[in-house]
Amino acid sequence: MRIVLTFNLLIWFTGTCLAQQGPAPERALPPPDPATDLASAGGDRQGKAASPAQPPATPPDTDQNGAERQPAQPRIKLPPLSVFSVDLGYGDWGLSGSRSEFRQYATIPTGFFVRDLRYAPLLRTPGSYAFFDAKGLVEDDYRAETRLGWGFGATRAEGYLSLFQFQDPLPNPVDPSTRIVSGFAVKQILSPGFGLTFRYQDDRQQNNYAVPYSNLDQHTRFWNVAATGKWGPGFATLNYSNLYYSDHTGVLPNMMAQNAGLSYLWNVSNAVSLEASYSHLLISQHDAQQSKIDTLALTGDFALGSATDLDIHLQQRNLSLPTVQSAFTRAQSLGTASLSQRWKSWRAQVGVRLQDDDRVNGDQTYVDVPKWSTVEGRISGRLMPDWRLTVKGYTQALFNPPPAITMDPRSLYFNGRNYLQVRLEGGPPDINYYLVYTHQDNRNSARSTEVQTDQYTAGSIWQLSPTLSLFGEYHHEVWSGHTDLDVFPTLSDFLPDSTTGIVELTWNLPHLYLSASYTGFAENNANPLLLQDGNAHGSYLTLSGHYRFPRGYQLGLSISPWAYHDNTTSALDYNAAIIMVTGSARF
Amino acid sequence: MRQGVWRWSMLLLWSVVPGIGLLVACLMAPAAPPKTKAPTFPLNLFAQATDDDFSNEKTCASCHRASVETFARSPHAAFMNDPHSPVDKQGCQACHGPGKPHVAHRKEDEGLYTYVISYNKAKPEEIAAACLRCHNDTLTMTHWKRTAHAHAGVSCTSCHQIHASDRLGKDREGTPSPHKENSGARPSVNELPHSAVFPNAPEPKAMLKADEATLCGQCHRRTIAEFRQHFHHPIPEGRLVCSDCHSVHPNKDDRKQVRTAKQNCVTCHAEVAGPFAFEHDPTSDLNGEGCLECHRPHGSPNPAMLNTFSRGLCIRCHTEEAANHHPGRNCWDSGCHSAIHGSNHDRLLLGR
Repeated sequence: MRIVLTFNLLIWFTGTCLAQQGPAPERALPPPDPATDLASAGGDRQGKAASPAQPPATPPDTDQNGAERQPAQPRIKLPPLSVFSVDLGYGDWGLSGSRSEFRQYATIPTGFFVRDLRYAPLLRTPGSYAFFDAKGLVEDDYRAETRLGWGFGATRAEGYLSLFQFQDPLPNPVDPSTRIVSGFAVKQILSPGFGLTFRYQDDRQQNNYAVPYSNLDQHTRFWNVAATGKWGPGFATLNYSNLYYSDHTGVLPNMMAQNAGLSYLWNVSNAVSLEASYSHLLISQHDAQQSKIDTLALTGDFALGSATDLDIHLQQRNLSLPTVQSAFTRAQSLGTASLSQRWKSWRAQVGVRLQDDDRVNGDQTYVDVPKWSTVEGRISGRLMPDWRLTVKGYTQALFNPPPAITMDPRSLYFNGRNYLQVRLEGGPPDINYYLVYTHQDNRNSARSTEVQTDQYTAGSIWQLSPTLSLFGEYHHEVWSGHTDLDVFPTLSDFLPDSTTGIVELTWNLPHLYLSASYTGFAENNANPLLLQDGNAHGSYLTLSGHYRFPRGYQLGLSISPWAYHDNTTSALDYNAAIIMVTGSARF
Repeated sequence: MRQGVWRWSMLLLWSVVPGIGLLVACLMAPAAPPKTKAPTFPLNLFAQATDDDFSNEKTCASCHRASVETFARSPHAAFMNDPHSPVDKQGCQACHGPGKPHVAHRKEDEGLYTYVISYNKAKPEEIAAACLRCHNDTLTMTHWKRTAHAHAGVSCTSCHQIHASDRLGKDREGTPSPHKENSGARPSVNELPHSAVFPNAPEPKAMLKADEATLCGQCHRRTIAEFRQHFHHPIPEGRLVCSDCHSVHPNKDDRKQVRTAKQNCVTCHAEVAGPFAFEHDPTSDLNGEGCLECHRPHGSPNPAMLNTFSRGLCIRCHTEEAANHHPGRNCWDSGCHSAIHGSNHDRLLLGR
């Protein structure tokens, strides 16, 4: 019923807007004033003399375009452009403790390494550019990328290749994992407002985990082609994407997902736009029936005034998932409406979102129809010239939550969610302060469950002098929760609080750059099961400096004493004193 | 049953029929003479200009020498002097409007910015309209207005570097931003000497003012703070950038409203895409928050960026399993429910 009413609202507004005046033009260019119009300097185009009561339209000492000659301004002295630059380095970890924890996300280079290699030739062909950059070549982690363009941006291409090595942090470490991502993209503008885009990405993963987790050895290839441009009174987009996944361990079936989409945006008038889109997703798995997802959407944008906009969006999604033998959603209806208003330096937005799902239950004997209703709002603007306030949030309610087929038949869904964020930032010219408060809570009233978090972020950037700046930030999260059972261990025993902080001092002289940065984090976790990663803290200090010689050469040194400690599993602790010496040259 | 049919019939009668009637009435009304609406600022500057209103760049340089001289090193320069482009899409005037009316009115306090597009003075909608004159293959004005950035008053020039002086902090050559005509004005925090939020960030692309974490982090402070948690997506390590997940310029066929979270995640994590014979309902994405039901995508103090530590994640929903159901381990690495994202073999997700 809500969808019907929303659709009717769309019809009413369409008719209303078509019948009314459009928004009044703002800041329209007034007709040219013959007294000051340079085109009629000294008289109009018919050769008649200017009115003697008017001051001469042509000021003295003007150039050929009629501009008054300004006093000569000093030329800007710019350093010579560099075409080629190389950055070499030597690093040592100085590591004691868990190597796998130290390499959790990346592998810092050690020994001699090529930190950066960059080539940006000055091309003679006007409107063209080229750029190549490689970081960490021949190291365990490296990244190379290139960008090309010619025809004044009519053709643009980019390519990239990345190799990452990392390790699952464990007391008894396993082999390092590897991920290789490569791809390229080409965009060709065929005519003003019409372009063709092609993208391709290849992703190979070999992730090694400890028992009982299964290792990943998989390969994903993705490509996408899209054509967008003007067609008749509007814009059309046609796109196709293809994702192919293969699992080399033989556990998961190979899968291909193909998606084709079409959309058309019709600018009915200055005040009304309508867009329709359709997409068809086909999923094919080895030795399984095909799955399909069809999505149809209609969007209307209405300018109700010069500073008021209304957006309405309707979407219907139908899913056919014959492989699924448990609960799944076979249809979804979605409707949103959003009203935004601007006045002076303030902006406000309020919206409503309604969603109905046809959910097939776990033993596929009947269909539930849960309904979500969300109201959201946002307001932002300047409290004072130097201070800005932003408040945003939403509240969501679930009606008709589906029952579960588990031993406990009460619904498993969160039927109430609230979110609120308040941000205040500003300050005098040399200091910028910011304070962010975020609250979020989820409730399941059927099971008397609630999970809540309050997060505080406060920071400041202080320009102590033209060359010296100080940055500090403090972030704290408080989590709490409860269910209907009050037997140890309760939910609240698994909701850790955490704190992170950073202080950074930067001294920026013409040839010398120095910085000292400290980042720390700590967790306050009851950890009743005494598991690893439950209660940890880390401190990371980085002291760095580099000196730039007049010819563009640069020497750098960084010293980074880092420490990580796990209160439960000391085998994951590490201490590192990373030293890096780098030198770069530009040609 | 009869009452339900009657209620639906009345609802349709009293809502749809008047709506259609209004639409028909509007369409059937005597057509007013077509009104040619003048475009609003800044498009009116181009609409009302003739070729004679455009001057050469020496005129610009007579007052704005620094900007003209340094523009050749600006990332936008390679695209601005196509001789095949119309005159209103070449050089300084392609962005700032025809030069001669600006020169003629340059001494007017109130009228100065009526005849020229100043990207320090213009509203975000006006900046977007100016940029999308050329960049309408990226998105249309209609699509831009729908974005959260548009609602927040974030303009194109908030993120993109056009002039060399727009870059945050020093440029790659290590020199400070070139001389700015308005250097006497109070500097914004964007003009203060700046270091990257995360030193290993990849090279900024698409003419961004800085690397994405530094740029986005100017507003999204809490998100950057989350990346400093112990478990995080590897943005601090330079493995990802914000736009790998977030569609800042929604394509005409891809709006954040229609793209579910799971579709975003499975581009890199295809092993959890499914569909599986036995789905874990909230992770199937259409009921609830999908992947975000269990994971915090930016950073978390909990392993695997989970919302909750250990089996607390499961007992948020499966409250009855809190204390008596095989206590002592995580639910998914105790050798039991290892196929937590979905299983092709077991309804209780006991194996992949």
